[in-house]
Amino acid sequence: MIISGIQKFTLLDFPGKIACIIFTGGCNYRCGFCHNPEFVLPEELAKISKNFIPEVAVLNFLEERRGLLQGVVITGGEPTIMPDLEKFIVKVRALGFAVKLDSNGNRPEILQSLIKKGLVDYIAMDFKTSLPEYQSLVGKWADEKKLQESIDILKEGKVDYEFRTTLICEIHTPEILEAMRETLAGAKRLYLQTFRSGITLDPAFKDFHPFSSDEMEDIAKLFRKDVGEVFVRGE
Amino acid sequence: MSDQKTDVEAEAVIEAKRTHCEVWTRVMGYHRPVSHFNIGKKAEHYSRKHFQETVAANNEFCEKYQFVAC
Repeated sequence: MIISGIQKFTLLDFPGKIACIIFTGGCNYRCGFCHNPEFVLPEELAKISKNFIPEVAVLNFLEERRGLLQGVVITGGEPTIMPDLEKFIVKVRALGFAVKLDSNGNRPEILQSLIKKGLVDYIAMDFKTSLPEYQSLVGKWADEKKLQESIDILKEGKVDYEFRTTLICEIHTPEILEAMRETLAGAKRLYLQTFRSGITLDPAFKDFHPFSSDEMEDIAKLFRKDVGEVFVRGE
Repeated sequence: MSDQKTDVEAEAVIEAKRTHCEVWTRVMGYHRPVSHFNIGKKAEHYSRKHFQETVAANNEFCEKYQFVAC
């Protein structure tokens, strides 16, 4: 496990639980709007490679937090590209913590096996744009079939889950939103997130705009036709 | 041989495209080009370490938790 960062406390990131966040380094996507590029780009990771956190430090920390924290959020980067993710989750669970996994959904086989083994309590999957548009937005590693597979796995509802979408004015046209709605039909929960132009992976995205809160609410209404719960995460 | 030649040529092209790059910084409190510094200030400038939030935070975390007695 490449652990590139840790946030020791969060009330926001694990619904209903007090948790900490573990960031893994490296990602198979290159979303221009990514808000933590320092954990994605290899050249940025190289700068901090001597200061990655050893697994033992994280486990010591969690040992101390037993009875205080309830859960651990594993995010990134993209955690599912870590070959020893499962082993790490087993160790975390052995200490008595619930585990939430954030993923871009490009490796459904990992999600499937973790769900089957009952190793995750919550999965949050990014649904960034309509499936045919994925490659142009996040790079050539995006695989439509695999994404569809991940979406179907989550929809089965064997584990609590959410989809989430960061909405950007310049990217999410009405046609794309309509296509996304069709793909998500029957899902349980969707969070619509307001784009922030502060730190982005691709500088070009600094000039892109978020939707206004009224527009976000309109888009939420659109998705509510087919998705159980739709929430807006604002500024 | 021919490959090597193109390498040399390529290098020459790169060399020709290089331009002088003036670095400005404020080691002494106001902005000046580094090339105008005296030898001591230059040494001080090049030995500076840049602050990186992740590095600082990770170091602090490791110091605290890496060697907790089992």
